[in-house]
Amino acid sequence: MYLKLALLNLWKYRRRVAVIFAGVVLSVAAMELIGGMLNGMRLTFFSEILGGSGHVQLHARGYEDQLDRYSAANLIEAPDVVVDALREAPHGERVEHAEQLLSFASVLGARGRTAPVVAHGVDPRTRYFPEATENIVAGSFALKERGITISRDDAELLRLEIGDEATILARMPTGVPLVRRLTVGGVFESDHAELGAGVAFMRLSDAQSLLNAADRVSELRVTLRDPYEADDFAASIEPLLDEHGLIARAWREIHGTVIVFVEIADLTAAIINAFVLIVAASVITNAILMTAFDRIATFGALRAIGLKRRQLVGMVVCEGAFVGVAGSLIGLAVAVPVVLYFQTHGLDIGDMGEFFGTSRTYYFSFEAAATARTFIYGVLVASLSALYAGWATARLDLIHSLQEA
Amino acid sequence: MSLVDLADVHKEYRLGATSVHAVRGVSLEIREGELVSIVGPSGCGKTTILNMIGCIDRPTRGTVRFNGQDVGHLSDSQAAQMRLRSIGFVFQSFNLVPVLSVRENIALPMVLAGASKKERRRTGDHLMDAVGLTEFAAHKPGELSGGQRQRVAIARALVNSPRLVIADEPTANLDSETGGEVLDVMRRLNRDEGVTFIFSTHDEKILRYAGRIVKLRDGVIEGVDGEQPECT
Repeated sequence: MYLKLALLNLWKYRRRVAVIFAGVVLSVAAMELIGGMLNGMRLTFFSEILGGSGHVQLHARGYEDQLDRYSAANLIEAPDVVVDALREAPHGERVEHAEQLLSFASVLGARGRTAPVVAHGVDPRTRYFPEATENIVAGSFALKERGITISRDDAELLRLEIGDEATILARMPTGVPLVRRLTVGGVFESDHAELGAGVAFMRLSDAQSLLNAADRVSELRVTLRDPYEADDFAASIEPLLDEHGLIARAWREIHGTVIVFVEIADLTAAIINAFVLIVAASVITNAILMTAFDRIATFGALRAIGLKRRQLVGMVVCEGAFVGVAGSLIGLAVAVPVVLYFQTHGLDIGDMGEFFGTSRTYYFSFEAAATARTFIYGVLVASLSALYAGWATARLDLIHSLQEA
Repeated sequence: MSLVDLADVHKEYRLGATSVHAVRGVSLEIREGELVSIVGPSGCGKTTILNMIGCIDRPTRGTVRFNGQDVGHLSDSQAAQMRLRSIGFVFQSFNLVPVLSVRENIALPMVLAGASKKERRRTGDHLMDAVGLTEFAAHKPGELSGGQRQRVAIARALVNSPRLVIADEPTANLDSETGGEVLDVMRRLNRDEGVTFIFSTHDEKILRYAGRIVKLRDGVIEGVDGEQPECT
């Protein structure tokens, strides 16, 4: 009968209950949307930024002191030996993928025009640079021998099409300039801030040949099975690094600015969520208090016939919990489809993506566990608000309650 | 042994800087099966005495014993348990739960006492019949007349078979004819089922229903009319 009494009371005071209900619905919907957005941000960070950069980057010692990060003057010797060591025990279990890269600054020229580009010599099946490999708009990324894949912006600037020849000018590690003719094999288009223009890809072997740097690379890029082990992994391979004159940079160091942003965003979201919860709790508590104080006489009668204080509190909490459950379900029913929509279609964040080093389209992410947490928060806020209201009502003097009749 | 025993009971209320001495040294004994009326003008302390007997309030001084137990020092929870199991209440303003039906209102104390659904149904039906409300079982209090509501309150007060029913001005909100009907019900239940009733009133016309009349003025017993039955 408690439940029935609670439901009937909710119906009797339906206008005030509507306020409580709206408070729960809005706060739960807001928390779900903010959660979906931030979860998407985190996933974007891991998939787009870490997916492209890897979790640990190895460079020749002295790399950090170079004025030009793309100078070919400081390269890793015998990278195959290092990669083999990384793939073997005890590191092999933690390493998911390791790849060699030779990146260098160059100038691309064609039809009397030139464009500065950072050229990356990579494995044709590279798993990094997904913004380029997955967004080919002409030709393919297959990277044939003496082939080059360039951005659409550069192709338009240099008036290049698939099959056209371009001239690339670079400097050997010794500083001697070299020129080579390459055939355009693919054009990609990306709204990624770092891959939109001024980037080109060629085979690692072509890059090594061009720079006369056989069996040398500028970077070893490593992806771990667990990205959160990156710092620990970097520390664990120190003997190997010392042996080969290398340094390791984990993703927290590589993307320091972005991580600070993600952490600030997390903190902001926590503050927003706390604010939403406090506002909702205030609205809900006041509405429940008003509803409860309207029934002081009834509560007095119930206590007079034997209802204990804790039973009275339980009855009011039961009402709050019911509104919390129903309101949270409705709130999620409103917000989850929105999160799912933006998870599929994305949200255009314009130039903000450039600032963060991600694409312009920002995808939300639905996470069942986070949604369950939001549901629990909604029910808890309503129940705790009702607990306060119930406690405030139950502590009233019984005679005073009966006099309200 | 007496069911209710008040010995030199005082009750003082503090209202800010002033204090109101509502009951001044009342001593009273009520035996099982009695139908006692406490009569007196408004503010003479009738409700205060009933509240102390009913474990709703505590005396400032003196002792209130119910069935031999000093109820002035019970905890909130113990007092609630005492009210649930041993005392029924009928209020001037009925104090029914507006969202529940007549049947549910009557059965509510049994729910609190943990009675089974079957038992609630059986006892509820019997009491609705006793107070003549069987045909109104599904009605809400708002759909009943004042007299019918008070009869629901009487049935609710009796549902856990209490040893004492306290009725505070049960006819104050009713016209004289309906008030008479309600008191008839109380007298019949007292006579047929041996329920002890104490009711307060300031209406001299309904005193004929009482077996014993306690006259109260300014918190002091002015006199008692009628004889106390012999102890059984």
